[in-house]
Amino acid sequence: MSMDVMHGGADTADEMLRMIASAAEAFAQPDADRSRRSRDDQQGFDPAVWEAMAQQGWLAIMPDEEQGGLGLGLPAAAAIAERLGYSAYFEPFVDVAVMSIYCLSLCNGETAEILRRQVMAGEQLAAVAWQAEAGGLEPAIQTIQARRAGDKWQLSGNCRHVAPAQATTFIVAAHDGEGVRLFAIGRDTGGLTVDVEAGADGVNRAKLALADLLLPSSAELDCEIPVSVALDQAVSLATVVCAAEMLGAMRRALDLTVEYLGVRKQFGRRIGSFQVLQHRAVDMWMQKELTASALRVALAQAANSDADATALQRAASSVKARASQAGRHLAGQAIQLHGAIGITDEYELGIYVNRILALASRFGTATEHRRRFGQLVPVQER
Amino acid sequence: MRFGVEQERDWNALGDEAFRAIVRGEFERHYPGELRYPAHRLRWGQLREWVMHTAAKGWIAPAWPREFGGMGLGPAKLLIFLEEQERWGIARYQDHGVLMIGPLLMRYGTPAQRERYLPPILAAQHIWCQGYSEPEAGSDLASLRTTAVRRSVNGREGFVINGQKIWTTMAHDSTHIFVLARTDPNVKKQQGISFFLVELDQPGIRVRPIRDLTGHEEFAEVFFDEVFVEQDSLVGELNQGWTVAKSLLGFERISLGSPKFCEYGLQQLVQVARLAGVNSDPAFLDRLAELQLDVAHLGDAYLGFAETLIRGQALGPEVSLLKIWSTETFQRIADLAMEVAGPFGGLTGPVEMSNEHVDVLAFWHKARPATIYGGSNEIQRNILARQVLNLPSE
Repeated sequence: MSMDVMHGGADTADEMLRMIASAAEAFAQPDADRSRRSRDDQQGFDPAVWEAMAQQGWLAIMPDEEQGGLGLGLPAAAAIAERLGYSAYFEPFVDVAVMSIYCLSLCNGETAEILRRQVMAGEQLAAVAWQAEAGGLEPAIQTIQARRAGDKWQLSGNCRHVAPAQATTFIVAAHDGEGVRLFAIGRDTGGLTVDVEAGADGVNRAKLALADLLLPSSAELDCEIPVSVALDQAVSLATVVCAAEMLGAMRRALDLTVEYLGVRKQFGRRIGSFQVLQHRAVDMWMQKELTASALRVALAQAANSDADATALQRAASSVKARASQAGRHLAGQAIQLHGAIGITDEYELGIYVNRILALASRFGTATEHRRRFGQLVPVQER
Repeated sequence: MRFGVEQERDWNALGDEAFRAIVRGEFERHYPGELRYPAHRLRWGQLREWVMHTAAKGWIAPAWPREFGGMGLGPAKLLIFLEEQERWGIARYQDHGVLMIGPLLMRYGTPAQRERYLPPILAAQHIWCQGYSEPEAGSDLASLRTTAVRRSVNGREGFVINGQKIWTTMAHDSTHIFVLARTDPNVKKQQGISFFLVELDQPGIRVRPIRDLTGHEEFAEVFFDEVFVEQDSLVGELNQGWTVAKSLLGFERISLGSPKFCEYGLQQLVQVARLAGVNSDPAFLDRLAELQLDVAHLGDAYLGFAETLIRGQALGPEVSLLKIWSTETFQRIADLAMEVAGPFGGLTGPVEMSNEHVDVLAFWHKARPATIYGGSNEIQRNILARQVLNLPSE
């Protein structure tokens, strides 16, 4: 895996980013009816949309060209995610194109290579089961046990908060008593039970139960760095792109609010002329701007990090803490400024409110990221 | 005529890091150690020697063009210069002359006015203060009532000024004041205002310092009773004062939003927390981390605006975000310091906590004026609402 994953190459980087952002804008526009139908009928996953994303090359955005990817890295992924967030597309771009693909890109061998290419082509959907039951930022590497059973591996344990729930393959870390190994498990594997839990945004997350699940040796993914390190890096990268998606949703919620303030009339004037509402809207805008600034710098820090775990964690925690906190505040204020229509399912805003709520706690909450940021960057007395 | 001191080199031709090293070295070598990061604004007597040193070196006006005696720094170098000043905790003297009068006269002044007023600014002989606000004209500055009426005295053409200014920073430490005064009461209020340059030490002018809640005097009232000023005191056209004053936005807007002020606040906060024994308390650490992130993201936003300036583009109204966020974050930092200081936060003056001295009360008070001056944060929000969000006025 080349370092291009972080910064997306050299000289034409800006030009490439502009093209990607342009393509994303053409691909995805806000359409409340579309989003609602997708949410209600397809749990936010439209196979036709996913196929179209694959054709755009977006599922291959992160890996370098040797691995069949576009090598455009995190900034391109963030640009796509932001537009998807703005347009309320809930297809699992972050979970698959960033989290899963990044893990697979660190793995050698036939299993990994085939799976990676199939995922990039949109033929397989891979989900990484990495988080502890209680949540948190650290990859859970103790919750699933693996032991040798003849020439096979036998896995037992549980995993929660896994996305996408529709995955055809689950990438799972298991502890064998000495170290951590990574496995690719097909959805239909005997001993695997997949239950789904509905998210606030209508997107399902999966609960996995592994009961004496048997896997051939070939199911193990040969990770070129320690599995816990690989997962931690992947989580950091996915966290940044998740924050980008949240930023997109925040932008739309703010746009809807400002537009409403400009048209809704009460007491013979537009409510956007009332100073309190103006100031509330400005505070929403400020939080959105701070999130955008934090994202810009996080992307630059990731680019300069040389995959250093601490630098990536710092970047991820900085932007996600802001996105989660600002996102929820902005969502709540957007409802308030709309008045009663803000709490209806019929009005477009609700789609974004629920998406922000769902994403605010994905890949760690504001509190968890604040704690980690404070530990990573202690204030030095002068 | 040559203004000020010849620059020792073309600063812009240096690489950024080479320039930074030179500036840093100069500050570290020559700025008096005991004056670093002062808790309160310093008096002219305390800063005079340092300011004279910078004047003699030709460093008193970093942003002025070289033809007018400045260092001629471009935006990137200017930001570095500011950063290094902040890094070393260099106190700003009363530099309105450099920041406002100089650029004003370069743009609107006559050659005679430039020759008369720029050299004393460069030599730190004239110290200027700002006579804008009045008791009845704060946020609504355009409603100001101080008048300037044409008069001829002893054959000299000029104006007579009557009225009162308030919140004039350090007028009691200044030699000159620039004044917005009403010269036409019969037109729309912004269109009847003129801009005057006035010497403070003359009959009819009385300066009364205002004592603040920490017992210090940073602001003053200035009373004008039949004060005659020459024709040459008028800057720009008659009744063009509002336009003239508004043009003075420029680079200063970004220095208001620098994260260094808040970063220093965080350092003070953790010192107080350590002395109070709460610096491992999880509740404190969570609130500290939240403030750290507020400051980090202020810095991230500041960087974005700085990059705009370095690209040679003008700052838009969005920059008001920095003023609001930095000043309110600083207040939250001071609030938390007050909380963790326990009973010591309620004592005045440097207080002994665990064998060190801190002044938490002064820190809290120091955070108050910034959300009020420079356009109150409420006014800044009004501006953002109108000019960035395009929210309606009716």
